[in-house]
Amino acid sequence: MAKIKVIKSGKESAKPVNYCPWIIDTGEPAPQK
Amino acid sequence: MQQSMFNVRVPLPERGEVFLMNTLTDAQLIVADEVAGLLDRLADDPASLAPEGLDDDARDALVTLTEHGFIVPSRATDTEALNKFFTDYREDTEQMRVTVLTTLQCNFACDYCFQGDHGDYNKHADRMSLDDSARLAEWIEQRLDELKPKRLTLTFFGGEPLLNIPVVYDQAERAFAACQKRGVTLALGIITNGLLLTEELVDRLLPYGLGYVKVTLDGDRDTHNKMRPLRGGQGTFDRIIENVRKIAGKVRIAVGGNFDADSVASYPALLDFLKEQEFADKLAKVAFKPVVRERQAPKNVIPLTVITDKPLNGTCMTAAGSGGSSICDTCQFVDEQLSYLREETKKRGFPTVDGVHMGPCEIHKRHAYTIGPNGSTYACPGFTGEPTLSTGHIDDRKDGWRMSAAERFEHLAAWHKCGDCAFIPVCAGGCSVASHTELGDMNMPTCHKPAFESALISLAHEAANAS
Repeated sequence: MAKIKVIKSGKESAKPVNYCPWIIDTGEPAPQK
Repeated sequence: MQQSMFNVRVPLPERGEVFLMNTLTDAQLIVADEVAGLLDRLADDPASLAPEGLDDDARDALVTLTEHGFIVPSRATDTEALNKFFTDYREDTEQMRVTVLTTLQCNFACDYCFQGDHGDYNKHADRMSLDDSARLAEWIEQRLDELKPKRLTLTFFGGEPLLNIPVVYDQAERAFAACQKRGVTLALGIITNGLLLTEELVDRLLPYGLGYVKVTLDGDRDTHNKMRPLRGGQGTFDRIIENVRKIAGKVRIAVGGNFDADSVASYPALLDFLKEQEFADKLAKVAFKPVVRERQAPKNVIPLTVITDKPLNGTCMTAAGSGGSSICDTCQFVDEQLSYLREETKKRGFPTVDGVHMGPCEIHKRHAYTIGPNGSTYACPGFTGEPTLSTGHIDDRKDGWRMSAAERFEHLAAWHKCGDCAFIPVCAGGCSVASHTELGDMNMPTCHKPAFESALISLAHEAANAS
């Protein structure tokens, strides 16, 4: 059994930009794959 | 070496595992209990982790945990990395973002909106002229030349932005031409009440990069019609749904909704209704948020969900009760309902937010601009219309009071008062508009830590189920 499963790597630098999560909107939907 | 202050964890006892997340690196791991135990030993008994006393598995685990940011040399390293994260986020030029308020006029009379049915307000509400639109387009071109971003995100907002469609078309066409000329990707978005949404509008904007349209539904049909009527009192739910039906499949549609203590119970019925529609699988995002309440809404502040003349009862930006309840009661109510509606949304298979990645918001990005109908610039849409907090103007006039406001936003960092909270990288101290309007200090945090903790548990179980 793997003792560590990587769900999301911490080595990626890209972070999502949130528009206005608390008041107006939670931001545009994720781009289509 | 020590644990990062941004580590959060959720035990998964039925699996003998633990979900680990580092909110700064965004690493998410599912590890065996003994691996999580290594992190505990790092805090409690670091000498026991001397390499000579560990087997190969434990040594490898420590290397992996370090690579993903769960183990850091010192607290100073964490602080330095956090500061760099916010600086990089603020100064990033890869993406330029502009929110254009085409008008402050609105055709709805939502009683929770301070802009609602306030006499002849619409007669005096600012509306962008085509001349100002042309000037704004020039201003955007200048910024594009200065910043050389890869992407321009242009969001139309209001008031109701579709009450000034000529400016929407003008901005879209001009931004498209400017981006084509410079090899910049243009993404358009519209945040609308949905009443004037048409196929013609969508068809005309799609070639320019229309990426999504967001409409608002405040609960099931009856509840929505009470919450978001026309100025004559007529309901709007059926027409919005009909308009969404017509454009579904052409463009991604996001559905939002503003709930309070009275309306929250109707949201599952709304979700059931949406699930039954033929366009259900065309909805790109469904996410609800609480109505923001405050005692005295500053005149012309844009937040569309501010309730006036009702007691705030505390420091919570999303206080949802009125009268009698304590600060913690109201915060807890909102945090619980946010979680409840998020789970109800997921249960029906709609894409939604995870509730953990809630920030930092655009106000912390230098090159995210909000432009009011008269060309004034603002730090974010929530401050639009409060003249003393305009940070500039598209004609680059140098008013002392605007420069002073810009200076205040330049140093915005409410998270400095959040101590060692592990959620700082995904929260940034909460909503500055709420802090300003409710606490009188935009540099004070508005805290919803229980909401983050609850969302984290949900995220952990989803990750576990998928792995």
